[in-house]
Amino acid sequence: MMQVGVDQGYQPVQPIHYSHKIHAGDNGIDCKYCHSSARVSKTSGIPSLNVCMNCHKSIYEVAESTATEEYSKEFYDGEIQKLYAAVGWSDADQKYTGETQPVKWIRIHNLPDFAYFNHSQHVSVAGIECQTCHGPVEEMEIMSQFAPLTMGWCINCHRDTNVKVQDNAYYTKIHEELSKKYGVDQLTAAQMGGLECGKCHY
Amino acid sequence: MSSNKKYWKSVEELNENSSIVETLQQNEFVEEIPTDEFLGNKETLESSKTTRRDFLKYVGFSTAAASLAACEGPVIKSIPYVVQPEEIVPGVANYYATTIADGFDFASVLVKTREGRPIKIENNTMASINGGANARVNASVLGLYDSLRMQGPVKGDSYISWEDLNAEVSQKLTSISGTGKQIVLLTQTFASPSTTKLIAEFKQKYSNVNHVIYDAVSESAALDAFQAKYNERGLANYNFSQADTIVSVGADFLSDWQGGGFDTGYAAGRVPNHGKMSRHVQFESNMSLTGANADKRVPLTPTQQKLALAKLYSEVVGGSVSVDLPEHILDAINKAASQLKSAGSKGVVVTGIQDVNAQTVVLEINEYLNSKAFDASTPIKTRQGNDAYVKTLVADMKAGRVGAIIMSGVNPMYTLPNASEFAEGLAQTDLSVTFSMKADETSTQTQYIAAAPHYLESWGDVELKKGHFGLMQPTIRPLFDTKQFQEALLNWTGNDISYHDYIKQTWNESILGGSSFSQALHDGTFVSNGNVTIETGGSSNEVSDKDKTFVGGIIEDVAQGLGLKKDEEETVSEANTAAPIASGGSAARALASSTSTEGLELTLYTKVGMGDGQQANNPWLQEFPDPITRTSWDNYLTVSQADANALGLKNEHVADGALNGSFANVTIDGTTLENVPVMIQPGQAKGSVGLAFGYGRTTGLKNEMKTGVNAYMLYQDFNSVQNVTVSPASGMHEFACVQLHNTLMGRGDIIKETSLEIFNTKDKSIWNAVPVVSLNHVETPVSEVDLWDEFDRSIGHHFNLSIDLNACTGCGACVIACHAENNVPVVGKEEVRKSRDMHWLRIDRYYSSEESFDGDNSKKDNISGLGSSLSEFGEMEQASENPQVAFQPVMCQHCNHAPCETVCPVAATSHGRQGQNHMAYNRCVGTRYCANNCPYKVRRFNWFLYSQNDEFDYYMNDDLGRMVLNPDVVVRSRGVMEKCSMCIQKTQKTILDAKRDGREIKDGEFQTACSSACSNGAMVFGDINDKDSKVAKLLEDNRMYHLLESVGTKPNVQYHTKVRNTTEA
Repeated sequence: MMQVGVDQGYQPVQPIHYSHKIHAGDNGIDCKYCHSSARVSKTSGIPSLNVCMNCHKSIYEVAESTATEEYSKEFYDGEIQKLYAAVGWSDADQKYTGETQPVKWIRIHNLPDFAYFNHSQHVSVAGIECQTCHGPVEEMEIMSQFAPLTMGWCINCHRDTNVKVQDNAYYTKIHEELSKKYGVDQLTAAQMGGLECGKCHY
Repeated sequence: MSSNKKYWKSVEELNENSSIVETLQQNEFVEEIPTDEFLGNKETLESSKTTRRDFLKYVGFSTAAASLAACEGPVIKSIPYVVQPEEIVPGVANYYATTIADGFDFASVLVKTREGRPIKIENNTMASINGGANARVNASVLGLYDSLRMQGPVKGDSYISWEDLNAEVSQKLTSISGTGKQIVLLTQTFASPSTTKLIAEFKQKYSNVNHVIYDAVSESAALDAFQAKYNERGLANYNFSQADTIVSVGADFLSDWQGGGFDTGYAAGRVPNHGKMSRHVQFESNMSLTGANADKRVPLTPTQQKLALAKLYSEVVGGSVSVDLPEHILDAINKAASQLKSAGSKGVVVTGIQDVNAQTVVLEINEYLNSKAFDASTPIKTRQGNDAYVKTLVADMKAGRVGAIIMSGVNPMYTLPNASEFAEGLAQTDLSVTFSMKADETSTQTQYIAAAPHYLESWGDVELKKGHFGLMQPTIRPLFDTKQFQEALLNWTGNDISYHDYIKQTWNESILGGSSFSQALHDGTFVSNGNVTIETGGSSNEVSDKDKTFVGGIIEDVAQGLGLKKDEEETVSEANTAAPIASGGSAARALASSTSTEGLELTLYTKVGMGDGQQANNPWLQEFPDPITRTSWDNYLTVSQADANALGLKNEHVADGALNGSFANVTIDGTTLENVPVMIQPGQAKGSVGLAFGYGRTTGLKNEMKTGVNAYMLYQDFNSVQNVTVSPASGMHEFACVQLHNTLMGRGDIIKETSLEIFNTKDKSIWNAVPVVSLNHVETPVSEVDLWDEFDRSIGHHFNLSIDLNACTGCGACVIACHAENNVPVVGKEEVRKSRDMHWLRIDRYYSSEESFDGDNSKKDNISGLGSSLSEFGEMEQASENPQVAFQPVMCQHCNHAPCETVCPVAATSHGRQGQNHMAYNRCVGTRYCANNCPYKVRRFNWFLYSQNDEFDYYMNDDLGRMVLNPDVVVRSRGVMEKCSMCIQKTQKTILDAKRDGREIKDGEFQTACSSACSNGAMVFGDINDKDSKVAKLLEDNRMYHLLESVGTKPNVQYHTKVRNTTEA
């Protein structure tokens, strides 16, 4: 299926071995701490390196217990050094050198062309857990694509998922009228118009 | 039921004993397959072990493998910021207020940026100055990403550093300063307080500095007249919304007259309100945008315009002049005058005649009327050029009196009629520097090209009209190694602060009066409530004194130049101070004695789409169809039908319908402009011709953009009216015209219109009847008949776009805004000529074939029989000599019963509950059934791949140009249909913002690109399910109708019947 653009399970090697498991799993950092633009933007955003440095200014090595059979402490510490090199941080002098080297991450989740997707609609408005689409990221040592990202997959979810209308003045009127029309208590995204072509294709 | 069908392959099979059938049964292929060719070589055949089955397997597998291999997903890199700027969130647009001031266009605008890239210009609704962003301002963002921009300062043929340039120039300036030769700053109108101050400082540093302001398209006469009367160099401001009667003599005030931007006020007064709307009478030669909108248009030659204005003055103000004018013109003037008089302070007169006397007369009439629409107290500052100084400069340069010339924002080698003299002079200067974004006609002739930034990369301030300021701020870091003129001046005067700090200083000292600079910068606009005093050093008074006396001189010069005598014992300068009315009277008398000469009178004008030509390398503007002629990629000589017949010039349609026109040579005093394409223009006054500036550029632009002829060559003495001789030349020119049918042929239901009188007195059913159809043999309004089941659209949003044909002036700002918002491709002249233009929004222009559209309708209704219909319908294809004109913006009508949706074989186009007709590009297979079934012809087909294709070398073909693309809208590929989406990306964004905030949407939040670009209020967009919304009320308006309502498509675009104020005095 990868040959036709369905890249479920795509797990490329990244320039810096960033472990979601350590950050989101072991340390329980909220996804949206780093991927903050998911709240307001169509993209979730790859964190800029200054976000990493919020913590890594003081965290320059991993704990002994972080090391696993597969990845040693030296390995992880080396990866942190890669971050310092990229952001231009001199650990010895504790200051920025100004020489930066942007990180060329390999993009994992590629939506098909001609489709519009907005994170904030799903994250902020609908309150969908990131894991619903991205899988158990907090367990992933190496990030991979969890969902197929096909149109059928989108549509199925829109058919099954109820719109979160509570405490949202935007939905008050439309929900009242539509739920009466369809004779239901809870409207699905599909009933709200979430299957219309033009909602995603323009 | 089993079938015993027998399938016959040929009639031979009927013959049981046919040998042919027998043979064919044995032989699969009728023609013998040339097997020998590939089986003949026995050796290779024997060495091969491929059986037929294997062969097919291989073919099948390799095809699949090949196609799959081709589909292999590329590895996509994502590179985040190292340090993300706080204000940038990827995927969310930022808006910055700034001001465009390119010497021709001045406007307060909002700039939409995405990920730090400016991608669209919008109106700054906080601004208190005239009008909004016109088509050119909307298109100006593309100039930022022009691939031919200067990437750094150049000396001769090679790049140099700014340090070297600054050092060399300063050193040369110092040495020239000692020689007694002039140091000339030749600039555009900056109207910038801080630049004025800076130049004053420059003058103090170097001796003999002469600052010459040069407007390519001059308003010098109007400026001189205003200055003589009000002691201030500026232009009177007009607010046409305050006028009940508007009389214009040759002023194209809906496009670029005196800086433009008057259309907003005008449109406000044109919408019937409590039974009243303004009455607009236009006397003009060329068919202008303004004339097309007038209630009454009187074509007359430029000389006759002067006479008409003199006559109008005498009728309104008093005094007697005798003018030799045809009866119908005199009658029109008398009627206009009496309407003006009865309107009193609600009347206003404007003129576009480039003549001090004419401009003085108009100021006098408006003063006399005490016109509320006329405002001399806050003059417009955006034109400050002085023709006389420019002429003196060229003479000085030729005489070797100019040591250094530094130019900014001007292109005299292109815009001067005597460019060759300028070049001679340039060769004699010791130092020549041009601040330019391009290696253009002028900059390539100077020693240094100082690469200048685009206005979206610059700091600046502008006094648009007195006391009304705009601030310019960069919206992107400079793309190239560029520096502004002002920064260089700072450097050359030994000042090391940045221009930004300099502006801030100037503003804090003399403009803000304690207000916050940051707030002014945020708003982009500032209105000062006190006196503004800019320190310009000791020389300022001196200069203005000189100006004053000089202007008096000009008036005398002009009067003498026209062969007119001043009144005895009354010098003009005295008249200015003592008796204004006498001055007007003498000016009127001077006008009245204008005489016409032989030949044709040429009126040079600017097109809404091209202006003075500095944006000639902008493909959006090149492809923008002129609102009047609907022709893109060209300028042309507009000629009346009568003159064309006399001269043997013609327009004709070739086999595919495209328009061709003759060539003509246009001569003035030995200067001949050769091979000018001829466009026969309905409404062009007999004896007059027109030609637009801005075309015929030769340097600094792509080959495709080198279109048209250079009209500046005929701009002798900076007079837009010239006496010319026109002679036919051989050959035919191919036009790219997007509208080949000029008339409505009596189809009064397409553009419904009525007169103010009927509108006020008669029932709606008379002037805006809903079409009826026969239902069960009963005449039933079509709105009540449905072939299909009605969808339930009562819940949620239901979008409607309302277009008021009274407020729409046809300016076309919406067309460019749509271009920018929706990544509409540019297809080029050849493709436009094949009617493959891609504009999602077009503005149809129709001429009446009788004197009025009403006349057309009754003529059509009276046609009976075949003979009559053949001849009379034929006649109705021709526009009248002086037609009524109507504009109608047409985009996808988003029909509730869309004919396109039912015929799409793959369901690529479908309907949304919010009233939008969706188009899923990736579903479209390009059958074009939808376009064929669309009664409005609004669907556009991608005949080619228009992006990243060398055959279409426009902005989408280079990395720089593609930076302007809107990331929220896809770029369509070859073979798919596209059309107006009612800016679904914008409506969806508005909804999402509201959902995220957990609030209801207020009326006015929903906008499309076109509705937000329309500063005239002609386009209103909104949700009709919100019963209190403006658009819902417009739906119930009596003037509302739907286009081709009889078809039953139930569109979501409303039109509002055009009402003409035909009340004669």
